[in-house]
Order: sequence, then C-alpha cells, then structure tokens
Amino acid sequence: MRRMAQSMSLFREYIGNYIKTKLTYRADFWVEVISDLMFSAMNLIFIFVVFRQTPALGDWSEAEVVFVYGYFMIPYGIFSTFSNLWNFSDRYITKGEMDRILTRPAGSLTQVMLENVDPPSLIGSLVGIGIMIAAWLRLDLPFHWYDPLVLIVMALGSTLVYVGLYTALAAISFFSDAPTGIVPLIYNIQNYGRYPIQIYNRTIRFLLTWLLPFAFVGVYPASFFLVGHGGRAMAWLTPVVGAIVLALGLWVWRSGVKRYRGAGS
Amino acid sequence: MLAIDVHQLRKQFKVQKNREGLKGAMLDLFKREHTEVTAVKDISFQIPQGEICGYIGENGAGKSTTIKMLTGILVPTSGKLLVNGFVPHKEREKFVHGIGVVFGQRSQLWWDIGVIESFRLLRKVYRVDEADFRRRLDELVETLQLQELLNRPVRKLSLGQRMRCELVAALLHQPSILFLDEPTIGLDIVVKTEIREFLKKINREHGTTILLTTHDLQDIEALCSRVIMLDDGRIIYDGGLEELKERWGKGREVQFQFTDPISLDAVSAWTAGMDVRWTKENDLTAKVWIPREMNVSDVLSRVVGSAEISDIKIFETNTDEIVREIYKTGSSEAKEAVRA
Repeated sequence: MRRMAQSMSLFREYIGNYIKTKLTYRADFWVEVISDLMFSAMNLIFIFVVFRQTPALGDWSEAEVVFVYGYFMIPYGIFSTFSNLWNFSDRYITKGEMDRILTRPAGSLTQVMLENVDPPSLIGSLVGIGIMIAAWLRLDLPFHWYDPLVLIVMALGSTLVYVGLYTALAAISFFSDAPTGIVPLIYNIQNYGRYPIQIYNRTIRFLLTWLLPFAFVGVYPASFFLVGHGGRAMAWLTPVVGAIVLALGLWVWRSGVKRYRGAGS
Repeated sequence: MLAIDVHQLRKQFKVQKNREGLKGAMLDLFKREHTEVTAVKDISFQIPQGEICGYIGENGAGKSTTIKMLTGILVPTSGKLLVNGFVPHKEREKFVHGIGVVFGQRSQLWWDIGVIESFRLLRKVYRVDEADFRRRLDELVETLQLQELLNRPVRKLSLGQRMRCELVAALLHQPSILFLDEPTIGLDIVVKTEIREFLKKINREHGTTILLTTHDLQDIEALCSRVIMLDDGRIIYDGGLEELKERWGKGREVQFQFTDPISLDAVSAWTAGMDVRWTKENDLTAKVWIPREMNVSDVLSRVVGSAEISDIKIFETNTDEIVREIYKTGSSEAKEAVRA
C-alpha cells in the first residue's frame, strides 16, 4: 500500500514535469494530438467505407462496429498514456539507461513507465467515449444506472490486457540483444481485436481470445452494452483476463530484469 | 564498520560467438555458440568508512563491472559482497537509498527540464523530506556555485556545468557511499580541480566514503589515500599511493646545467664507483639517473665539487610514468613484484 502511495506521488511529479517540458515544445504537443486523432479518423473512415459495400458484417451493423471501435479507443488511450514502451529496447537496453533505473529506489517498471508518460493519448479515450455515446444513441440502446460503472471496470480490465502484453513484449529485449520484428507483428494482430471477432474464422478467434487476448480489448466487453450479441459471460471475463495477463507481463519483466543484471553490457 | 566488503568476487559473462561469413551467420541463426568471459576474477578488498579509494586499470580491466556489482546493477557470478551492510542486488530498493552514483558518461538528470526540477523529482524518488532537501541543496549549490544554472534545462549546460549538477543529484539524499565512474572525463583543468576540491570537502565534512574509477592519475594524487589497481580482472596492487611510487618508481633524475662544456666521460668519472647512469643532453647539460636506495645528496656533493654549475633540477618519477610502466610490463610480472 505504501508502494502504491509512493508511485502515485511520483506520478504527480512526473506529470508535472511532463507538462513543463511540453510547454517548451508546444508545437510538438499539438502535432502529436492531431496525428493521433487523424489515425483514429482513418480507422473510422475505413469502417464507413466497408459498410458502403455491405449492409452488415456477419450480423453486425455499422453502428455496432463503430460502437466497438469507440469502446476500443478508451482502454487504448489509457494504455498509450501510461505504458508508452515503444522505444524501451533502444533507450534503456542499447543506450544503457537501465543502469540508472536500477540505482534508484523505486520499482524498475514504474520508473520506466513514468519516464515515458504520454498524456496526449488520453484525448483518444475522450474521443472514444464520444463515439460510443453517438453510436449508443443511434442504436437506441437502453441505458441502465450501472452502465457507467461497468464501463469503468471493463475499460480497466482491457487496459490491463494491453499493459500486460506490451510489458512482456518490451521485456523480450532483455533476452534478445537485437529486438526482432515481433512488436510490429503483435501490433498488427492487435488491430484485429477492434472488430467483431465473430467475422473471423475459428483459428483467429481462438488466437484473439485465449492466446493474445486482444478481443478483450474491444468486442467482448463492448458486447455487454449491445443487445443480441450474446455472452455477457465473456464480457465479465475481461477484468479476469486483464489481471492474468498483467501478472504474466510482470513476471516476464521480472525475469528479464534478473537476466539483465546477470548479463550487463 | 566497513563500507565495502568484497570477498572472492567473480563475474562471468556469456558472449556470443559470431561465426564468419554468410554460412556462419546462418548457423548462428539456429545454434548460437557462446564463450564465457570472466571480467572480474575472484577479487577481494575492504574499504573502511570515510576512505577515498581510487580504482584504476586499463580499459576493459573490469573496473566498471565491479562498480556495477557494488551498486546492485549486476549480480555477481560468485563471491561475497557487502556494501553498507547490504547485499546490493538482493535488497536493491532499500540499498540504493544509502548510495550515490555518478557515471561520467551518462546523465542522471532529465534532459528537457530545468536542473532544479530534476532535483525535485529526485527528492520525491528518494523520499527526502522538504526541510532536509532545502538545507542540503543550499549547501551543495553554494559550494559548487550553481545558483545561475538551476533554472536552465540540462541540454543547455556545458559538460562541466552538467557534471557539477550530476554530483548534486547524486548527493541530495545524503548517501554514505559515493560511486564515481570517471567523474572528470572530458573536463577542463579548472572544473577538474573544482570537482576534486568538492569531493574532498564532502568527504571531510560528511565522512562520505568515495570509490572512484578514473584514467586521470591526477585525480588519484589529489584525492586518494589508497589505490586499487586492476588488470585483466585481478587486483595487482592495493595500498597507498606513496607506497606505489616507492615500490614502482625506479629512481630519480637530476639534471645539471654547467657553465663550461663537458663530456660524458668526464662527468661519469666524477661519480666513479656509484651505481648511477649519465646521459648527455647537450654540451652544457647532462642528466644523471640515481636509483631509489641511493642518497641524492651524495651524488650532488661530488658533482658540485668538480665543476661550475648554473642550475640543478630534480625529477621524481611521476605516477603517470609508473602506471604506464606497470600496464606495459603486464600483470604477471607486476603481481610477483607486489607479492614479494
């Protein structure tokens, strides 16, 4: 518990510094926000183009697919803010900054994550909420008092799936001296999770549910709010899967750090 | 109490062997061959609290590996290691509260934010309370004269300015041991002197134990009461600097400037029977080499009695030369000599 409190207070401090830095590079900040938004807009346009050709994908209507996409943007934004580990291998392993991390009295993963916080990504989450609401109204879905609470739980669960998976992936650079193309590969697979999983064949469905559970960052939790798309059971698995994936990710990270400290450079 | 207690410390690395050519690369893809490299070979030493100890050796001798083990970054392959009463790699987070680390070639500070912001962040990371932090910061800023630098971003500092800030960053949490890996690398002579003075001061006032690696032997002469010399992963010398000079310095040289031209035969004749060696620089100057065990004044009196002299200079073999000599002759010979 004291560790949590310490991490939170560090988090405040790092965010403060982040803001100060970004105030010096204001243009940079806006470029990032705009490019993030353009990326999301492209994905939405892609969905619209697809539905120009066909009225439904499987038994999913356009608004439903957009709804799932909107949901996906929420955990993705949170994940990108806190777990911005894309340049981990280059900066911390190759350039040796891991040494510095290890001489400081705070968790190594906590420090790495905090040094790379990226708050502009949160704007994506807000846009996602907007898209969800729009799709919600268009689908004329019922609204229950507990829906916002469930949404929070689901979004957190989904975020943990991402954090866990990408932590494990980042930790691979502890084991392999030259990081391979595995991150781009996973990134591509991740994109499948944004669309209704029922439109894929069984192999891919199995892969996205149990091996690289990206479907828990999209279609499964989003189905909770949609009518007639089956299993609420799958939706409720989201936080569970999130916890398991996170635990695995932390475990891989820890063995990676141990390995680093055995090898050095 | 001992600040650092190292016993039979060893570190081995697995290094990948890259086979030659395209075929070799293909083979490497499927089956990697490794060779074991021992960077640190069963070294032992103790450093008491409050000592400034220099850790020297050629590139690749194992200095950095040792420092990384002592600071908890690397886990030793075997041997015992106790720093500040902790086994560094075991209770890492607790242990690092008590040490400060400066790696000359790497920054502890955040590149884009003002120096003072970096310090504040470190205060949070090390959980130093506000009053202590203020007092400590004021003291350090005063001694190193950083007042004007505090609000500048680190990327706009010169190397010398940055280095002084790094020292502050490493000392804010009042560590009892300070590890410095080449703290004066690339600095000009003024900054070097300032940093040496500063290190001496904190050692004197706070009793901070300091272990530093360096290639600049002037650092050692200015700071260290003790030197540990490493070669190929083994300690080849551990003791005082004076002793090192005495044991390895082969003698002194005296240069005479005469008023009348001299010949080598003539000057050699003056010191006949003494184990000295003359060399002639030019018509008016000659140098005599005197072994350590012989008294310089004996030689002087003979020469002074034999010719008119306009100037005398005495050269002590300096540490640079001694160390170069040791590096050159290699460890095997050196080790025997030290043990003898």
